[in-house]
Amino acid sequence: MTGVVVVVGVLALATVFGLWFQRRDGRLQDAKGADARPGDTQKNEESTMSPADLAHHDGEVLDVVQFGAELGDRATLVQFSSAFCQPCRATKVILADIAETIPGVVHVEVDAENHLTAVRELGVRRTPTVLILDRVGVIRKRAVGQPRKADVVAAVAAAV
Amino acid sequence: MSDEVERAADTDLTDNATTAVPDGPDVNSNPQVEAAQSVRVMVDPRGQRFSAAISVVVMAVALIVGLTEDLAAILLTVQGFAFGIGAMFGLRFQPYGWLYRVAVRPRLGAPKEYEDEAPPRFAQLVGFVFILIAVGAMAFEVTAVAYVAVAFALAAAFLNAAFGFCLGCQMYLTYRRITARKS
Repeated sequence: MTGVVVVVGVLALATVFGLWFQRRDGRLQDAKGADARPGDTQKNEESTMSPADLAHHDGEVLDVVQFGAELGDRATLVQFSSAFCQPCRATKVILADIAETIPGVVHVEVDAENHLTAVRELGVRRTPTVLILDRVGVIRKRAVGQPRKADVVAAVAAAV
Repeated sequence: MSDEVERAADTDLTDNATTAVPDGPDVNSNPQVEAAQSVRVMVDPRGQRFSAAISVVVMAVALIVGLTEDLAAILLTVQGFAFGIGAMFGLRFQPYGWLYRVAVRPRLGAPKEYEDEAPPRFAQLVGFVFILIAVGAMAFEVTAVAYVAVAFALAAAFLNAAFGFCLGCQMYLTYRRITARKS
């Protein structure tokens, strides 16, 4: 009897979780100001950016130099991946394709395991997590899970 | 990258088995990620969902029979071996995966896409640990612990079978965040 209750309960809960998760997964969300921490450690490496540029944005700036990358002229798509990640490969294909087709957009794939400090600072809990940065490196959007291509394209257009 | 996958698909049609795909240089990605995944074994994603569905049935039957029964112990031992073999030797040696390859896949044809074996293989290890806890708890007659452990494994397998969601894979980064020393 206990077993029947456990089976029914687990399957019901898992179904609810699965449906909720499916709806939420990969959705782009505004990151503007949500996690803004001025005077963060990343600041000192932002010398290439003029203060005037910074003044226009009030979001968190991500320094991509720590990942051995450079900002794109229009937007940068930062993707956190890990070794045991099913949707990372498909996400990479989508983002790389966007970077190839839209000039000035750069795709940066970061191995989350090798950058655990950044992972903790940014609150990355799952892979893939995609951050869309504007041309000065301010985090504009965040998607946890595999984002839809059209959403990313729209967000890139808005970030310019 | 896409060329590599296509090549994998071609080879796979002929030998009907999993294929190692050496990764070509990729301008856009991080070299560390590439190095970690330099040789990938690619698998048919439908295979592991099929395997997960069988796991769901086996574990559900064990629970319904009742974890104090011998039949449940036998079923969970079989399930534990399936998970253990999958984790240690890879999904192509996993008994349910083998069944898929021999009995199901010939009817379905080649898959549209392949995926990296590492995530589902890690998930097999997570499943194995839960079943190990359950069987151990049953041996010491701590039935409540056994029910909880099998419930978790059942939930994970069901999410994989029904939604293609790999709970064990999701746990990996969380695990690393906790265990890796703060720098």
